[in-house]
Amino acid sequence: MASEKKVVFLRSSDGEAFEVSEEVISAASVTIKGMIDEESPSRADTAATTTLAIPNVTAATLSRVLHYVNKHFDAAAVVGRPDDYIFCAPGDEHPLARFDDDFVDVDNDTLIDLVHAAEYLHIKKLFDLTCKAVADKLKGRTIDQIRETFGIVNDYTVEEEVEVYRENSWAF
Amino acid sequence: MAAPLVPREEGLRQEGAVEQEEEDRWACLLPELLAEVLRRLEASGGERWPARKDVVSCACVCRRWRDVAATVVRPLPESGKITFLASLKQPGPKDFPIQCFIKRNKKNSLFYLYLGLTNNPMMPATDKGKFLMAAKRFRRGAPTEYIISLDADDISQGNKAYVGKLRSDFLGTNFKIYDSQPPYDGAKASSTRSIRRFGSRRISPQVSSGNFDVGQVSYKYNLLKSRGPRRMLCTMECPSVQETWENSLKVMSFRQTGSTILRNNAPRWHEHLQCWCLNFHGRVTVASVKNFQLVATTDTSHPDSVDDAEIVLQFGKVGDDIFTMDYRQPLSAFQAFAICLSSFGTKLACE
Repeated sequence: MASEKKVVFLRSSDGEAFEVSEEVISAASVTIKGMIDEESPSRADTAATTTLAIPNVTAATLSRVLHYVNKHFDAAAVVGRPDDYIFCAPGDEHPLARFDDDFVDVDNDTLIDLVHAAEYLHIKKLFDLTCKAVADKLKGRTIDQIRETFGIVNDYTVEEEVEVYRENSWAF
Repeated sequence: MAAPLVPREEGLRQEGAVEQEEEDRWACLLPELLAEVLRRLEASGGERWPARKDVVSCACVCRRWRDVAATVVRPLPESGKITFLASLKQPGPKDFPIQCFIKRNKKNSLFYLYLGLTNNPMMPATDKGKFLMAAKRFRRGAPTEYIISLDADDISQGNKAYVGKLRSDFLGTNFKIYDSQPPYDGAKASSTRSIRRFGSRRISPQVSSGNFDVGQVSYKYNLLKSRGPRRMLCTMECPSVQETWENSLKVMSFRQTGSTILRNNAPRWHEHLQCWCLNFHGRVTVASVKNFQLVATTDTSHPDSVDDAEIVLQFGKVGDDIFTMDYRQPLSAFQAFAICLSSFGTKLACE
């Protein structure tokens, strides 16, 4: 890390600031890249650091997101440090596959926070990963299990319920 | 979504409210996000049965999820995939056939229709298939009736699983096909017993135990009983394909489209093998009088002009009690199944 790197600060909805490389976050997040581009004319070229408010994302979620972003978008960190490859099992198609699996192995509420954050920040890779993780949680579940897992209330009328039941029993 | 808090017992209620909010976040997941999730569910194995049932489960969770599922899963004519119950009465795809197979249980007069799951055209016995419908043959004096149901264990006209029936005339050479649901908006039932619509339009409007005349199949009368090939003529009330299907959960078409006339490809006499032959492209392996290919024709007076027309339904024997059934537009799985069942009936007059 010899060269000087520009950093930006991201302020979460609950007021915590996180430092991240401008280059890395710009590569990762379309939303933040847009914010930085908008800021840049008013910024001095050198010393001043920028703080961007991220009103929709809490500190807990933002720190997870940045952890992911640093792993995936800081090429120097991935390629440069051999210890990252402890995540890589033989046969993994991506060196970070194991990291990704662990990253989304979280409770439902954390996961939905990540989906929303990825969507808001426009981080496509993370959005794909988290949506896929939600999809995996739905696999092989019965309707009741899905309702219970995600706290969804059955809002069908009696007649609709009959029809839905008919469809579902046919599908199994 | 948080409910207003009452000062008394504030702490306790607040906790409850937060929990409520957490739960609602899933139910209220933005439709676009839920659609993304469902798309990935479909893409990661859910394109094919049996994993496709996960897509159906999600569509059954609640109204919002059902609406979203209907936007993600396209109707059968577009997607080429059987997903929801409504797919059974929507026309098949245009460019390729849906490959199914029928298993027969002679002892119980039962017929089971499955969607083929393997790509092997020879349909090995290992293909378990996705169960679509079952039919039971009832002999009521001379006419024969086949009741078609979604529930193989409870085949009757009176229950929710009833999808339609096939009924023969006295000689067993003419059959009528009845659908439990109207083929288009405003269709009149042939028998008017307990037709009742549910108020909601979210789920396909349901009519219980209606019988709507949707087509007929006739086998050509052959007085001489020479063992020549059968002649088949079908007149079907086909679901309209041109009208855009509202969604994958809806059965009905918006208007009547008129009849489609189908007739069988005439087999050729093979001098060398001394038998009647038709090219089934490997999907039929056992010679049988029941085997047939139907093509759509506009002109019934020139039966020979349909030779190179596209085959919309092909049916034939591949084993003792197993038959393949490949159908495409404009037929639905239900109609195709009913036409195939007519081929099982003994027709003394035309064999």
